Amino acid sequence: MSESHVIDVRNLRTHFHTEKGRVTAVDDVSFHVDRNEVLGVVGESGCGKSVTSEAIMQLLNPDITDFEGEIIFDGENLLALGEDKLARIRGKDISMIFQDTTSSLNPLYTVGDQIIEALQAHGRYSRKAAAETALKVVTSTGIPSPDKRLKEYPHELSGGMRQRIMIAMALVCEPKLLIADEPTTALDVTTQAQILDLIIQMKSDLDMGVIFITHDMGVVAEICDRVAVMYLGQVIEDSTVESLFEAPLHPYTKGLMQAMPTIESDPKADLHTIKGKVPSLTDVPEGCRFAARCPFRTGKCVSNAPTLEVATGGHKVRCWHWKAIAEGTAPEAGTEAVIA
Amino acid sequence: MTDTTQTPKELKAAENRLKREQRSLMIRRFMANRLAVCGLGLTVVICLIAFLGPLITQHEPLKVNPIDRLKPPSREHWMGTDNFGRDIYVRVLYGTRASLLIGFSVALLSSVIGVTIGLYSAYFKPLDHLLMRITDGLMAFPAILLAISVIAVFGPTTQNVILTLVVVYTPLIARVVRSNALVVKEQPYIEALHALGSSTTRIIWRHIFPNTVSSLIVQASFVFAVSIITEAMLSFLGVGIPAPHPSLGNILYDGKNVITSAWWMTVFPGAIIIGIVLGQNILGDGLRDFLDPHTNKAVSKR
Amino acid sequence: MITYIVKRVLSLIPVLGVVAVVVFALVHLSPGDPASVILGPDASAADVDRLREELGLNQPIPQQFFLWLGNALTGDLGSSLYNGTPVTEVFLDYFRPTLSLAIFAQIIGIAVALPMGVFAALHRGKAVDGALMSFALVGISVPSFLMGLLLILFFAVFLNWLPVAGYAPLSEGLLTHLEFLLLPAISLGFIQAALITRITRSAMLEVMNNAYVKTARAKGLPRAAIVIKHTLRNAFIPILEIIGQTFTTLIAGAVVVEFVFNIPGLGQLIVNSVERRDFPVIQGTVLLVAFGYVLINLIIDLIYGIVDPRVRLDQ
Repeated sequence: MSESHVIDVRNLRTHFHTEKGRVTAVDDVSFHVDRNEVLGVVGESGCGKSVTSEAIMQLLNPDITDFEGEIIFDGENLLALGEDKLARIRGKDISMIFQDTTSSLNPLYTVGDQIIEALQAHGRYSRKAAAETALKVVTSTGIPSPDKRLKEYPHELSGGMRQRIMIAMALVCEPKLLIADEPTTALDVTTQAQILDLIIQMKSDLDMGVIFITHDMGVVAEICDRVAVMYLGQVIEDSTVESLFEAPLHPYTKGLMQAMPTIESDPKADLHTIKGKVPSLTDVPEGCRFAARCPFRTGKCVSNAPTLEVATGGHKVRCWHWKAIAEGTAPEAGTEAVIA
Repeated sequence: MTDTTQTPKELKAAENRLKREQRSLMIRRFMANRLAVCGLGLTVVICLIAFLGPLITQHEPLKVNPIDRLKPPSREHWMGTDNFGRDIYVRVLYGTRASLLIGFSVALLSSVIGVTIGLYSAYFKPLDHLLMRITDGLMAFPAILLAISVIAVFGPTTQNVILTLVVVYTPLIARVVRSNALVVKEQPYIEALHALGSSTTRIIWRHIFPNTVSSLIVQASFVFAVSIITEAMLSFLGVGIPAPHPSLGNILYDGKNVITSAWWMTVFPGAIIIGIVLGQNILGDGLRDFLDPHTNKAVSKR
Repeated sequence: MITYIVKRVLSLIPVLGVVAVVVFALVHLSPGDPASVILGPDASAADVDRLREELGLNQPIPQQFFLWLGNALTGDLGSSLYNGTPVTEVFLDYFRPTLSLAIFAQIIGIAVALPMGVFAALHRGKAVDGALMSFALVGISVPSFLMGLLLILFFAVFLNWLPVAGYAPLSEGLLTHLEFLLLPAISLGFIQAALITRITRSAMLEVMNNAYVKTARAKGLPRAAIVIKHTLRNAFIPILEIIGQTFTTLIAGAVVVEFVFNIPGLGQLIVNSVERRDFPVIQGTVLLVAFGYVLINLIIDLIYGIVDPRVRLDQ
């Protein structure tokens, strides 16, 4: 295990207790992030990507959540830390930004107050010193007339400006790891590009690791160094961005990429869609979780669950037939009935 | 008969069956709601006691018996006697009847008026401004003060008590119905009905009104409870149901003067008032849960 | 902020108008002639005529209304028929104990309810939550005057602790004043506390679902700051609203609780005035209390403006 990992998630399992019984939202997820590196976590809604990020921050309600595995940060297992120690790490060493900028800022305080508050929670700053630092960070996010913005309330700002404020708030303590949970999903395309640039720039300025959660393969291509693709609570493919886009191994990843429109694609042709729908977490299939929707499935896929195995150097995949699929020798079995 | 065509009779039968099934589903869902059932149960029990209780005693509510003054509860007088030697048990039951009757009348009348005001003001903007300002104004009055003044002018009769309470509590109903109706009114299907040429009256009563019924019931049960409290307060102050007639407030008033020696005159009528109000509050909480299934309940792992 | 205040104040005019009409109508819509209603059935015709003249009853109704309204606006609500004192003076005399009681009860209510509601919300679904909420449910089901009677029965009669009833004005010292007010204030504050506890809990739960609470946790703020700055303060708006709305029930409760404890407040004034058929006093009292409600709600609207920046800017 290399020392340079900022965070190392090992075999993380997250169980929720709901009225319908115990649900495992994250099942055996492992990944790591290094300094000055962006790890993309990709998947459809409900695949467990947000739960994973909130597990790292330990933001989930402990009364209804159980964890297994380890999340190693700075030599300590975050899952074993008490609330007090976690509070000292949150916002200081690990920060998080969210998708919904409208509701992620408290409407009753000026954005300046909310940034200063983050700073003062992690060190003895005078109000004046904190305000100066806040202004410096907000200025670095490229927001126009930053000193004026700090005195404004969230509802007076645009979505893009709010996201810049969120980023400033997250980075004001110069964290080692930033978790960005779909930070650009609610923004228009131009603003999205600006925010992505800002995150990349901040990453190298602060030499920090970034976990970037998204469902958008286009964003992944733009910002990430490595990618973990999640499906129904599991990582099904883990690789560098180049390797993934060059040769996706898992049928699901292939499907995701074909579902993405590109400049070259024929506008008259229908976009590719992945057949079927994601099974419910309360009713997880016994074998490969993607089997029911997979064009290459065999009897083995339905009865036995594959593990995440190393395919090529640094490219991992959770599929029985990745090799055959890659070589083009796997038969398409889309019409064959599933033996349940 | 062929299998593809259905006679209107069959259709009707199927429709009725569907309705029956829906109803039985509603009933089952309601019964599954413990709070609502408890609240309703408590209310029903108190009603039964109030209306059947007097049958098992030969005492009369107005019969004065100076020899038996201020007797504690005994086999002869289950809840003791008051300062005139009247049997508290039978007086409490008759008082409860009076209270329930007032509560029910007020809830019913203010519902009828409140629903009409609420629906029409949701539908007609200018009317809305006028009516809502009036309800704003009426809500500024403490019910009890307004009731006292009305009774001071018009005289202390049960009808006057009911009428005043209706005036004060109608705004509560009207507001809830209005805010519900405003939401429904904006639904596309109401606009569609407009376009199809349905009459305003029909839209209001057949399509908007049913959507307000559930919150109306919750609010009406609240009005029922507060009316009973206010009536008890009025009688307790001596300006409600006129004196010799039993009412929970009257008994408490008589009991207040002898509170140091006759606890039973306070405890028994008090318990009935708490029982009625508690029943309504539990029912109200239960109904709210019942009507709003989104109240997600967290399940603890312990 | 200034336009917000002006708008709020202007919006009171129709409400106060309705209040004035209702209060005026109270006496003037009475069956028969107000003068004979006031003087009772045994009055002589000459007396009735004199009073009619005195009250201006021979003028048309709208004119009477505006005359009365004009006088009311200048603070002249007429004089008591019983002893000739101006109504405003009588009202203020009797209002002081009621106000003391209402404020004391409200303080008790809020002081008990906020921590209980917050605690219940933070321990949602657990046994403490269930216990507190059952207690609050019973609490809102015991009318304050009944609570007063039961407290007298328990403390004063069985335990012989506090003065059973009576009143000492503030001039006899704060402690004596509060000692006499303690049981009444608890009676009145109990139901208030139960009500505010319920509202606080549900408002807290609602706010806790908001993303900004998660942001606050993600920032690593201490728990107290999350609960107080980012939850309770946001939940305060519905709590304030209920405090404003329950002003009338609080005064109504105070009126009856005073009667239980023999405190010379509005309750006694109005019951006595009904017995004496002292209509100007009844009319004046109802008008002034309704005015108080409007005023309290104006103040609460203005506090909204301070608590929530969206309110003062959006309007």
